[in-house]
Amino acid sequence: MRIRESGRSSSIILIVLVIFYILLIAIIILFFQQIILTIYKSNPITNIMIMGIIIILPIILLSAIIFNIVKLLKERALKKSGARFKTRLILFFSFIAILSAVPQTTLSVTFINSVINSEFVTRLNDVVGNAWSIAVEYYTSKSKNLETFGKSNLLPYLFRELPSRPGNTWKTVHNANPEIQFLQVFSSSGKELYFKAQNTIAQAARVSDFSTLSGGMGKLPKDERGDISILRYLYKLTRGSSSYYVLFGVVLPKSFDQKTKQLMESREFFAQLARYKNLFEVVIVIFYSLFSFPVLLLAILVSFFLAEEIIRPIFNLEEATQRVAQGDFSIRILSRSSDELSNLIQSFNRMVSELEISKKKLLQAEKIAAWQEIAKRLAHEIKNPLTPIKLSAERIQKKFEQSNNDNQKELKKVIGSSVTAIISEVENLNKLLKDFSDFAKLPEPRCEKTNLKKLIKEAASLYNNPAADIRIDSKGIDKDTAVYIDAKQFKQVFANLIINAVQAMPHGGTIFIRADLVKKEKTNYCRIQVQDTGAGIDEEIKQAIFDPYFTTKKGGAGLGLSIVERIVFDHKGNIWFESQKGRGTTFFIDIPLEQE
Amino acid sequence: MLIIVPVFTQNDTVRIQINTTTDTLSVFFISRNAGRVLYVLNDGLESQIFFYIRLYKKAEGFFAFLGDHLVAEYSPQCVGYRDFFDDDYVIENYDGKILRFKNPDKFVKELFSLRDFRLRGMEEADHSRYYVMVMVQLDSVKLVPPFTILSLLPFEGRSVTPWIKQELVK
Repeated sequence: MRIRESGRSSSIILIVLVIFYILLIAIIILFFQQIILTIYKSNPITNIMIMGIIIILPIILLSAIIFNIVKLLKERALKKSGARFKTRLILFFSFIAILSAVPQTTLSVTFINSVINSEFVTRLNDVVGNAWSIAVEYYTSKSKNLETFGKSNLLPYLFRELPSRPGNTWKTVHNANPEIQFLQVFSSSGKELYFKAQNTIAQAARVSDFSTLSGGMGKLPKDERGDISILRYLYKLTRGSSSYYVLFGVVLPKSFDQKTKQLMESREFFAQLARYKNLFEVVIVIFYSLFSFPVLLLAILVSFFLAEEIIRPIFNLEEATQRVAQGDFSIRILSRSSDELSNLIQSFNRMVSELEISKKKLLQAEKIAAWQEIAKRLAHEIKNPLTPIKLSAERIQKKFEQSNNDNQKELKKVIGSSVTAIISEVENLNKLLKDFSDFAKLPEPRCEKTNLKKLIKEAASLYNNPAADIRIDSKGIDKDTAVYIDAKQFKQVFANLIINAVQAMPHGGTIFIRADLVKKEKTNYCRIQVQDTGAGIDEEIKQAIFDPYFTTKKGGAGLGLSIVERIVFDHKGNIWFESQKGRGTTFFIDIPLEQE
Repeated sequence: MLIIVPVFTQNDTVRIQINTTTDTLSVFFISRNAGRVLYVLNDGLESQIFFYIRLYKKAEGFFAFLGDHLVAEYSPQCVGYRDFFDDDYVIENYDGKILRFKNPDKFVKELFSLRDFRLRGMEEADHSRYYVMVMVQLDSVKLVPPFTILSLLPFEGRSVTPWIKQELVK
């Protein structure tokens, strides 16, 4: 029992491809954002490598698809079973993949472009720009106010009560410029003499160590302390021989710097959007395509193996059906799945099993019938000569009992004729048994390249009898025609056909033998014709002439044409005949020219 | 010993200065894109400059055909922007230092310079076996996500010099 394995390798490739497909999607999801965020940090060589991978992957996948397309086209050209169905499946799967990918890509890209160009983004850009202007204006006004106040000629007057009454000085300064939120006074040695702040937030502006201040007199660089930003002005006050340092300033709103930084980043984003909008849209389309294209290609590649996976059981079933049609009932299909197709395969296997059992039974019955027929035929053929043998023996016995000296001559005559009859019948019996024996023992043909004309001439030489007015014409055979046959067996074929032809022409005639090259489907044949001009074959016996033991000749075993047919079939050839009553019969034999 | 080698590229000039006493490298990039950088900064954008440095040790002996040995690779990066609040040009240096400039020309000169960058990894005292390869990449616009994707393609905001070889000891 032969069992056909389903395509294990194709299933493994399919599973690997599907895993790769899922991995590719996961990688794209995980690293797409990462690539966008970090790509500017990488050097041009890294960028080229990334671009290389992005480009090489589709090229590899495209090559695999082209390879499979070529393979499929080859299968179609060779008319391999299932190739057309497989093509339809692949086209169907690919169509589905493209059908889902194209709108998805279009929608995504359109959505991104719509968002970029939306009114919302424009308004957001305006809002960020306005907020930025307000922040800069606010800061500038505070800064300029402080600087103008610090450079003001009023300061010596406002600080007139320092250092004795700093509390009064704070009130005076605050009244003169309400934006001033703190005042700190240091001695010339840097010792703090006074500090006053407007509120608790402004308390953060207090400088604990005078030496840490940098920038000299005037407006100092902005000082950031946590989420507080402070603008300071340092003024040197001289009182006689002593000098004092007066530090005053404003505290910006909490988290001013962080918020302005965020604004700056947003402004930068919108500035880049305005600058590179068109290029960005193009790059998004390219980048999206570069990532989605391999996924699409992979989906198409998967469709090839999926189609293979679907079609394989059907192909196996079709191939097995053909084998069964050719008479091979030993074939079985193995199915691992448990779907409807598997049920069909199991049903097929059961059907073939039952057919195989039925065939065996039929063969057994046929064999019994054949043996019965042989026994019947043998009994009949042996019984016929036994009667004359028995009669001859009885005649001898009777004459011998009646014999005396007077009828010795007559006795001798009877014995002579009877013995002759007995010997003749025994020879007939012997010939009959030899024919049966030959038919039973017909060996496997041993084919070798044989010159056809030479072989036919050898076979015909025995029967080319001018005295009987029989002529054999073999001019229709090319002298170089050679075929792969068992010369010994085919000599018997031609001998039998020539004997039949000779016997069909009791008054003489011509036997024409010719050979031609013919082509049937894709096989070349040598077609041999043996034609007589005899009486032809009766319609009612045409069906039976190749049957064993069928004969119209007295004393014939009816095995001649059976042997001819069997030899031709053993050579993978074919034999048939055409006959017209009163005009003659032509036997045709086709022998394959190619040696198997 | 001080070596100063000017290398002229198509549009820009790169000057490499090596001090073998202190094992430091200085790179000065003179670009025609300086005006563009200031324009971009005044537009509220940032610029950045990368100095790609590779320190090689020359291969000797039988296996020299395999190529020189890469001892170290550095890519210090400086970012420049405009502080609109204090009306300054600011550089965030590769070592984290913040430099402020009122004068735009001084700012550009400083942004395009890498000063006294320490070359580490030279085990042998004989510096003649070492050489550096330097490449400068100026992004007149420092792209922010998601526009960083544009850096995959050649775009107008980027100029890159070829790799320039410089022996440590001439």
